[in-house]
Amino acid sequence: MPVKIADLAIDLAKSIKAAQIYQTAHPTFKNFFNQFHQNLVEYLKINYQLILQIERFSIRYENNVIYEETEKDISIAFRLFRDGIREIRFTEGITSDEILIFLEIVSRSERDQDIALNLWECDFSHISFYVVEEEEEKLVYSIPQMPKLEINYDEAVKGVLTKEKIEFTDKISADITPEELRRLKSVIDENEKQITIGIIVSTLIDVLKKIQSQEIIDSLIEILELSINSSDFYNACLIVNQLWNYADINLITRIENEAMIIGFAGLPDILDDQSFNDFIALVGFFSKKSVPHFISILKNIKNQGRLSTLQDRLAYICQGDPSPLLEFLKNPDLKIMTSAITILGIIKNRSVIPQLKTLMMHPSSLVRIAIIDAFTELGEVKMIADFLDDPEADVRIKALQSLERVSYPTIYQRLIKTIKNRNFLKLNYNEQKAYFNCLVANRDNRLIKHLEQVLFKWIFFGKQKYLIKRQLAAQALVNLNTDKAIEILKTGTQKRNEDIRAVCENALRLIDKNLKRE
Amino acid sequence: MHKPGKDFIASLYALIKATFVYDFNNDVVVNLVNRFLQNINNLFQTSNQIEILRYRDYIFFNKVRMRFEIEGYASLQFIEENLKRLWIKSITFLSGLKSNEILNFCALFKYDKDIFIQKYNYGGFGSIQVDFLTEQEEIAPEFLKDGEQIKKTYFKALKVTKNLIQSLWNRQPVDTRSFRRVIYTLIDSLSQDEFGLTALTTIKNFDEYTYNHSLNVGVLSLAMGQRLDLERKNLVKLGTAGLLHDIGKVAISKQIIDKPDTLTKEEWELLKRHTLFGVSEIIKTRGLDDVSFASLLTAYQHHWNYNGTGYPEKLDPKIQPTLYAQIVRICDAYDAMTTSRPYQLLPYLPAVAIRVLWSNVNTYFEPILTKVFIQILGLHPVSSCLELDNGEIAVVLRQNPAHIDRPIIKIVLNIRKEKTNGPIIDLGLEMKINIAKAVYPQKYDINPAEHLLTL
Repeated sequence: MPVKIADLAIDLAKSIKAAQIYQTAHPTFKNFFNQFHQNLVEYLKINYQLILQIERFSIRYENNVIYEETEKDISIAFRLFRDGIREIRFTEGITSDEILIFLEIVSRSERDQDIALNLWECDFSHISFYVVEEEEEKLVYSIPQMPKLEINYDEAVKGVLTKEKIEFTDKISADITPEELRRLKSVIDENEKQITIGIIVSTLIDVLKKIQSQEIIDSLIEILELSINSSDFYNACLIVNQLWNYADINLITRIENEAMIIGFAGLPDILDDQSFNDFIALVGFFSKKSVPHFISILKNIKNQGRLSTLQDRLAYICQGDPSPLLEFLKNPDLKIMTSAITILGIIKNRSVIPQLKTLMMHPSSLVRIAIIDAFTELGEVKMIADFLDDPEADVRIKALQSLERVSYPTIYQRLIKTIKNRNFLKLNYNEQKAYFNCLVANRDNRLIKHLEQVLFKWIFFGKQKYLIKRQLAAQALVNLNTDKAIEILKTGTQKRNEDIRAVCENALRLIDKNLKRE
Repeated sequence: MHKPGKDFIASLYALIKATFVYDFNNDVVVNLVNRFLQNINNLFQTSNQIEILRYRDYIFFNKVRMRFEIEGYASLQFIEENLKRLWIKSITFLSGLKSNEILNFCALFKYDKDIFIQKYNYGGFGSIQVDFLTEQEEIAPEFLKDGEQIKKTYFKALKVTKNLIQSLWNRQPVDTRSFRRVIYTLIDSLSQDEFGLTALTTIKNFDEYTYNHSLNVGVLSLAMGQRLDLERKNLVKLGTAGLLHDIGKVAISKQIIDKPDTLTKEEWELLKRHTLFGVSEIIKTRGLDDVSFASLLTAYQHHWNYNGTGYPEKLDPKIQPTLYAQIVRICDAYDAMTTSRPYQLLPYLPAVAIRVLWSNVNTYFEPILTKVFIQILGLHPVSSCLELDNGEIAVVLRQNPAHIDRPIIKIVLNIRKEKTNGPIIDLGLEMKINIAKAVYPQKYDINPAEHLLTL
């Protein structure tokens, strides 16, 4: 059954009144609103549009008053009329959001709001209105007079035509070809996309290079905050870089607050590579004061590569000064503590060694591993060697790997002694391997002989376990790849012991393979 | 543009053209008539009748004004031109329309007015009602708002623009709400009467050049934006950008702005910096949002030329001016050329300014946008003073969308150069009357504004 305009008018009036009294989430408002929405949509399906006339205290549809309220403070008609609205048109396709926003605006009670302006700025697709500019007094305009000159006007025209090298008879065709139309449409489409902030930033920077303007500096700072909040670190860097030279701005202090930096948590894991690089570049502008806030977000980073990049950048910010980090050496959060230790290592300031030494016996292996990393950066090899007696394999392996990286030949004797010890076979494969790698890295002239001894050793019990040791010794010889090493392996292929023969043959095959690959 | 109206006008246009060339059984005609009937039957589902009405230079489809846009321009122009030629006020199509009836009706468009009327009256067109104009003077249909409102809008906008600029000049708080409101009223007025509002831009007040110029550039830019069918929110950006394009001049001393003599090199360099100051002033006035971004880019770029020259110097040559800046570049140049200023007491004739724009496309001005601008203003823009080949002097009252070189004029001096009040002649219809040349109205002591404002 078609919706009657009278019913629709009642629905509208009720919805407006309900919107004046209740919040839009209130069930009473919702009831009226739903009824009006449903009926309006139905009505527009058939009639395409609904045009309402606004009078001083009433709203009319054709000649019928559908709303009337003479009390100025509450009269919707009066408010619309006061702001110049004389007609409102609803058209087919209207959405519930449009109706809701419309009702919300027209029912607002603020005296100083301009309803017409607020409705315009909503840019509705299916609600339009006719607005007049009413003046309290009649608008007076006078016909302007043209300056009269004592000249020959015809000669003046000729002069202009000559100056501009044009003729009245020049043919002008303003017809737009289909190709021109296509080009124009593509320019318009491009234009209708949002203006990129990059163009604004480069324009403001451009202007700032030519004139001094506090407004532009303030705007750039505002855009900087917007850029950071929207993870646009490229433009953020551009702005910071540009404003860096304005000493009086003290730009960084405006953004290096805890809230801003905490907002970065999680970003390193989700940014694309380019954005992450821009982010790291931006972090480089921050001061030491911000380091504690950054340290607290490091614990959230799962991507190890990005974590260490950020740690490197924080070390750079500290500029050799470890003080912002020291308080974190007692932090109960192990991730925060280990990050601080790692960064202290990167800073390479030896004054922190005593504090780090106190943590060598820390109950957490994560902390001890971080200490090994820091000592590695600081070149404290002797103290790294102390970790070879650590009760946990992971720590010992970390220590061996670190000693492999840094040169510490003094450790050789201790390593070969451990390898030759029968308890060596009780270590897990990774630790055994770490020992051999460390041995090779810190070798002296006895290494070949020692490897030969390990490889060819005759044993009667635990052959299977010893096989791993033989393999690691053979691998070490492969890595050395000297004439003597190859000779030992060849000798091994002639041995009666099957295990020795097998590992040596494999090792020689590996050398061949490597040779072919080369 | 109004989509159902646009489609309907396009299908009617195609059908009329086809009946001029082919007989009714031709496949082209059959296809077109089927398409037309399908279109109109769809429309009848929501409306009892379909009405095309012409008032002045506008076509209304079921009381909704059709806007001239670059797309669909030809069909609308054709319909408007023919309705005017045949003195048709409106055509109403009723349900029950059959293919033969519409074909016979379309075929009438090849005749002149008298034969058209005669054949229509005896043609038995039961489902097509034509309402002819009986007097030369056209009467505004009831639903069309009072034209006085357009003037009110324009002069209110002028007042607000003046207040804004004066407040900035005097470093006083700015009424941004009124300013924002003005943009919307201008957009609404343009959508109602594009030619009426653009005509008002020709009224130049010598003493208030700065305010007049800012508003005129805003209005002309909006007219272009509307012709380009920009979305409403983008029209807001364009209109604001146009109105504020020269706002940077408030940071320059009035003595330099109003200096009647040639500027020194230093003064000229300072004046050129208004493009930079404009950026700062816009931020100060509007803060940072999409509209101010568009405005500040326009203020900064509106003296950049199409060929990459201009000022301020580009730090990055790859950056191209925005569409808005290119539009404002054209409107700014035109309005500046045609306005008296302290250092240019005798402005260029509008017809000369149009030709200057045309001769500088590809160097200063974007060529396609310049064509759009010329389509809107015509070769003899409103308020131009013309000498006709019979010796009469006329003032251009309105643009003629169908003929950019033949506007609607009012005879103001007879052949003896005596003052006369009319007649109003549509040169698009009176093809025997020709324009001899454009002349300065001051030569004959004519003030075109008197004829425009008293319309």
